Amino acid sequence: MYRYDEMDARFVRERIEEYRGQVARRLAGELSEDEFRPLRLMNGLYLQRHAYMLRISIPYGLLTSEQVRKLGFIAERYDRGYGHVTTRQNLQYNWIRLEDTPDILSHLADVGMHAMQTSGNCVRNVTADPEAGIAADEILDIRPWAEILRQYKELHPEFMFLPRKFKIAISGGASDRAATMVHDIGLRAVRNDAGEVGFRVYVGGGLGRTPRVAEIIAEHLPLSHVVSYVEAILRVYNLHGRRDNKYKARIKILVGALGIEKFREEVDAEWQAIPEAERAVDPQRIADITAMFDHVDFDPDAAGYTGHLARRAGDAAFDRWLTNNVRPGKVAGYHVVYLSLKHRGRAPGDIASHQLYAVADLADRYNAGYIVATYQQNLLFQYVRSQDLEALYDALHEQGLATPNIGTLQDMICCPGLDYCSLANAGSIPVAAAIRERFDDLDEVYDLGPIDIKMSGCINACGHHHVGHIGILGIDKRGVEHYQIALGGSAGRDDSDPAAIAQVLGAAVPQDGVVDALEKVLEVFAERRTGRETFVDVVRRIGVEPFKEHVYG
Amino acid sequence: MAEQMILDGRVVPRRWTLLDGAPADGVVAPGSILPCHDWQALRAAGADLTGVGLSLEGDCDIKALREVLGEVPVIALHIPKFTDGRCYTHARRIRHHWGYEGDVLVYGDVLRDQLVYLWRVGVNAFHMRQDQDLHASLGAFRLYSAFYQYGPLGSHAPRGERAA
Ligand code: SF4
Repeated sequence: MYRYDEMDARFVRERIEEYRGQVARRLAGELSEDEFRPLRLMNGLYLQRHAYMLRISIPYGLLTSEQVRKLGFIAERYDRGYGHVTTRQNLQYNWIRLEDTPDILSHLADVGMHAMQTSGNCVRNVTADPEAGIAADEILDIRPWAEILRQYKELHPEFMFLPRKFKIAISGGASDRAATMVHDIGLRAVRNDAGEVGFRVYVGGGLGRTPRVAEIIAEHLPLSHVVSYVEAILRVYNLHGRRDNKYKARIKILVGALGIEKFREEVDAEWQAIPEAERAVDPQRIADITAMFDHVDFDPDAAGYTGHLARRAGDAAFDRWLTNNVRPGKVAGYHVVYLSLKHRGRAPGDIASHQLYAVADLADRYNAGYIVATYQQNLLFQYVRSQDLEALYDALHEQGLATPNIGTLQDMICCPGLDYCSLANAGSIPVAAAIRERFDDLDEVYDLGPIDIKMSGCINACGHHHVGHIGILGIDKRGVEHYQIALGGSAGRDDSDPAAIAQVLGAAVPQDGVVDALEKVLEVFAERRTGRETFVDVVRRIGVEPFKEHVYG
Repeated sequence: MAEQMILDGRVVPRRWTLLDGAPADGVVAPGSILPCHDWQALRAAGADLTGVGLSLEGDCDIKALREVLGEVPVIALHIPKFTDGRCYTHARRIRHHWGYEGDVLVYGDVLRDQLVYLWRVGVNAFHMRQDQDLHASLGAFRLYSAFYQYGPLGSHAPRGERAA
């Protein structure tokens, strides 16, 4: 993986010193809260309901065991013993004191981590396909490109005061595992007729108040132009994005107002204005960074090993885990193993410090020291040999990280909601817990097939409810928490499953009615489904009306 | 004490005076800065604008000005609000894409926390907000020993590097 060199490390240290000074000025009253806010946000610090929340950047979701150990330490020492993995592959602490933040950042810097640009109106953490480098359907290992973009956006002087936040996602598989079509910029590796790999560039996707699926601005961009092209887009946005109304300030509104044709013209003109020598990334630099990601020594014996399969017959739990949480990698005998953070009785995405320590040790033993955080709020190991599957399973099981529910209804995405977030209208975590209680029987859950439930505690849509097969949105109805249910959304996987915004089913239901409504939705599904047809396919085929009739009839 | 500014990393007396509009007699003293449309109107009327600069807002379409910018000794960019980033793009274009060599000045809601970014997009002159301590603000230029942008990617442009 990309290892910080001396300059990277110094850069992070210097950033912390700058921030330390800003905190001191705030505490001394030299900076008003209004002035301090954008500064602390650029360093990932939010003021929440009960305390400060600090969001740690995990570039493209990739972590080392050393970093995960440090995250465990910070959870233990400065928080309440746990952290929370977000849909943007970052990790949040919800119980932080302002005074502690410079020291926490200093601890993070010891392992090359920071909280830069995890919030604020700047280019945020670049998210990526968590299976990058090993995915069986991989067209391009996008990690070097994600790293190049990471470097490019870090304190980019021109783009620290954008109209609004800016999110970039990048995906290299035939299947999109990074939700690129609901990002401000989405980059997807594609092969053209000549067999050359380039990026298809999407722009103007996003959720929040005005959900919008991105449009294609460039069909096949040469890989090496990706930075200059992103720059041209950012420049158009910085100048022309709305600054008079924060609800209309995202790039999707600008793209919508201009139309994609006009927007593309503007971007192309800006791209032409970039001096020619700066349009392509230096091939040597690409080669150097690529080399850093490409070094795992694969064990040739892994391919022929089948010893773990014998256990399937006698151990149903292990069998389920292999089926649901393990995928083949592109190297024979190697597997991608998902560590489920969707355990009963725990908020989706939460992980305790003792689990973080354990995960770090397991990564050292079985995964070349790597850990990946995923968009679905889980963790992942990507280099697991067949020979190690059983031992890894046993260890994960002991830690409560082997719940075999990846991709099922239990694998819900959920924002922090009323429990933490000061913007929330409703508690999303308790509803997730209620759904989890009701749908605890794995046989029932497997029978339902893949169902993606996504839940947000308010219209800001941090839980991506618009793109859930089933989306649940908390709203406030005359002071009482209610939940709006929508069906048929998708974050988009490929051309056969494009991104789509879920359709609202009807009037919002009270908290204690959510599980009932969900049961009714699933009754219709069971009745109308043919064979193993998936939930979202049924919704696409029959529309939301039959569901509506049954839920509200 | 005369009002001060930061110029090329030093605190010095202000060398430019920002005017709200053209003087009634149409005579503009060298060292003045006129709003862009006043400057253009006077220029069209054939006035002597030697030593006079012009000021721009974030929403100006500056591409139309490219030809005339070579005539002015200073271009002032207005930052009405700390969080308004449009002039950063103007500065970058003027300095880097067009190779402008005069002073690029910012004024308005300018705090020390912006200096390092503004400097790097090509601004070299700063009228700071009234309450800012100019000498303390200079510390901003020493914060970082290197950056990522404007060199070959990943090569870490050195601290002194500016977009020019
Ligand atoms: S969706 Fe709303 S409630 Fe949930 S975390 Fe985001 S802002 Fe908070």
